[in-house]
Amino acid sequence: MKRLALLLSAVMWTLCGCDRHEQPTLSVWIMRPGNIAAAQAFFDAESAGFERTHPGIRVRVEFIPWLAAHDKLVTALAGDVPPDISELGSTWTAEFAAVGALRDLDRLDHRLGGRSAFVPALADAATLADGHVYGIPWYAGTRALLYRKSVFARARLEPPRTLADLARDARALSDPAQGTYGFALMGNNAPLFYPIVWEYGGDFAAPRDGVWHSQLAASDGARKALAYVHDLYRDHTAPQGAITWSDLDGRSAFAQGTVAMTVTGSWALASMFAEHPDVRADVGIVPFPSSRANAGPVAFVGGSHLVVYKRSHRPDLAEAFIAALSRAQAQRRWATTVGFYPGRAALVRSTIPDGTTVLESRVFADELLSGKSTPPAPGWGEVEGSATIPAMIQSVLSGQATESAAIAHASAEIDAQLDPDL
Amino acid sequence: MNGRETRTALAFLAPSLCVIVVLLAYPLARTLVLSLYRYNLAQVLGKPARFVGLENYRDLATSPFFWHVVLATLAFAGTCVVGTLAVGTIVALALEDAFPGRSALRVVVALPWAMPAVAASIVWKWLFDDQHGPLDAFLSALGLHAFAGFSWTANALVAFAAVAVIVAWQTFPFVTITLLAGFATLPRSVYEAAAVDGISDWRRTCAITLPMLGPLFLTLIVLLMIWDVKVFTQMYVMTGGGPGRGTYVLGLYAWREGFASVHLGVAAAIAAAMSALLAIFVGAYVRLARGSTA
Amino acid sequence: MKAARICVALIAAVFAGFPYLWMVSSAFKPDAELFAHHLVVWPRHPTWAHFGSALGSAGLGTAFANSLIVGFATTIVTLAVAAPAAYALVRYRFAGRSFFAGTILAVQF
Repeated sequence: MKRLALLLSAVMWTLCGCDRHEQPTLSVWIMRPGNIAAAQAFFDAESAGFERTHPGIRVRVEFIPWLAAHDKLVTALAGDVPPDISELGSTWTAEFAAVGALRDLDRLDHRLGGRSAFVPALADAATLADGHVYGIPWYAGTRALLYRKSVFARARLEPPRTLADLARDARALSDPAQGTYGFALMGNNAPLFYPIVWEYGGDFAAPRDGVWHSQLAASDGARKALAYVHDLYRDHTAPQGAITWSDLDGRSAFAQGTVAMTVTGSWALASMFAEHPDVRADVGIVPFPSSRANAGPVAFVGGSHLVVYKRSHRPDLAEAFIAALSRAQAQRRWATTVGFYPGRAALVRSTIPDGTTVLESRVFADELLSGKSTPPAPGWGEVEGSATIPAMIQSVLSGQATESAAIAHASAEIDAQLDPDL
Repeated sequence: MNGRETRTALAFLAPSLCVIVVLLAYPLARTLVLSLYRYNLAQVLGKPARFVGLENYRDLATSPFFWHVVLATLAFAGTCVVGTLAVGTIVALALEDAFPGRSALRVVVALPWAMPAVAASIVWKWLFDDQHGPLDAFLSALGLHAFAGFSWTANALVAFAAVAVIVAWQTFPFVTITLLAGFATLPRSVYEAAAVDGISDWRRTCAITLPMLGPLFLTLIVLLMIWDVKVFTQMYVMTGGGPGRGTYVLGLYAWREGFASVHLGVAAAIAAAMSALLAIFVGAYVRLARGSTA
Repeated sequence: MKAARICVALIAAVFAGFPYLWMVSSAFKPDAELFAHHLVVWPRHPTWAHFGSALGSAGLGTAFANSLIVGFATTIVTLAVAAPAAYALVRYRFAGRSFFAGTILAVQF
């Protein structure tokens, strides 16, 4: 009995001892990437380096899945226990900044080179209407058009350069009776639709007197874009099921040979070729079709920022850690691990993300530097979260609504979602 | 009734009362209060909430989408109930009398009940997949080539049917087991008399077994209706509300408003509306359940 | 009629059990077979890789432990709360008994 008491008190002492000597910790939340082992290794090295130059501080990195991330952050903020630093998807930064959750990072941004040092689309996405910067661009990604070289060779076609080419090639390569189609017209993939709307001169939202409004109905662009995809779907250039396809479904169909073309991003290539190694040599790449051949294509650019939360107890240390992660070699190493490009514009052209070839990475890099992001409206995260754009596309493709009706409906939804008072 | 008995009884009931008040009544009250406010992301992070009275309810009542969702939910739940009851009853009747291997089959038939809703939805989503799913492959192998690469989620009605299959698959074992227990309670004397009259198996089922279980069927219908109006997981996994918001049910609508859009006041109002709708069925259930035991 | 019953029972067993079968077979299929163009019913090159990922990067071990903890705790608390309540409702007669019984039935939803 006495021995038991001794053992128990030893255990208690150890536990209490741990508490008393708790170190100040910098908590970092990062979105969980596919290659978790490499990610872990990267952060182990970075944390160790930081702890060496800042003795007495412990860096604790937690990986959270993308799907649960938004909820988890909102909950943490509501409970007043946010991390010191986190990664934020580029469309979320404005949202969190607008509600006052993020720390103003103007000073850090200036130290790291200012707007011109980073990929323009990402830098814009982190700058609120008040002119302050709330996130440091960490990595960026964009999508390009992949095509099956053998299919195009057999049909004696060149890969498409404009949207008109794409439509023509898609129709020429579709043979529903055989079960082969020209294009993966993914209905549940808003990033496929964004550049088409921009190509037709349309846009999604713009600020007026400080309040963001939907621009879908302001010009003919969105209607023409919807008509374009509707015509393609009606002419069976994609399987009927494509209306609910996400990026993953499109890639899967492409790799299997069901469709001859698809649109996907640099981060997806590694896993696609892991599942279908025999297809690698047959895959060609071109920039997303655009008529602006000389000014460079206008593709959709997404990515992530690193942000500091206002409630952080150690904001200066947090900024120092972000500065460490923004070093050229650190940014490049992380980006290539997750299949993306560094946020620093100067590094983009010389980076080859894991899983891509030199040619492929050149196509992505060119698009990145001339690409555009979604409107940096605080409410845009909600528009994405509610899948308003895919719902609009699907209602037209499934015949539930005409193009104009779908646009009117989506416009009203977006106005409500972007209105800060609602 | 004596005072000491009452005190003892209340002492024994105290834990359940605690649970009901803390975990049910209080959150329900808070939700109702929340539904009277504008409560969005900014409010979650500390900005004061604006009292708007019944405005959230007014917005819902005048929204054609909300009524569409209510009707869709009721129609979907009704379909699930009919399907589940049909399958459950047929299987229960098949397992009514003994045959070699019956106990093994009883176990297999009970398995769907054991799978969590999320896991079941994911497996069925894979089974229904238009590119890699065995269902489409099987149907076109049978000669129904219209099903080669057929998408079960591209059309709202078809998608509802597919999700109903998932719900029915998960719930029919409950119906089967309940009915089998019900069969065991039926008096032998009626069957013996019928056997003497030389009645056929089929007539026996239709004229005696099923009618005598009338009250049990009624209870099952109400119970299934409650569960099926509340369906969320299967719809979320299988369609996410698509295509084009066509397969929204009340549970999914409340979730989207609350978590995707962080409009917690509106979500609370939808939840309140849903509770009011369910209260009708719950009241009926309590009536039926107490009627048979009180 | 007996033959019909056995037939129906077998069909029901297939309906009930097939998803389980598919789940198990998919767990052992390598990615190439999962996404193959022509359906692969039974894995030709079964692999433990998915189980490895589940336990490793997906954190199945933690999830499993959490489920066990939650399951046990819930069972114990539920029994501790419900058993006395059931006893009181059956054994004693007191004012409001009917109301309590009804409430307890209603709040399970």
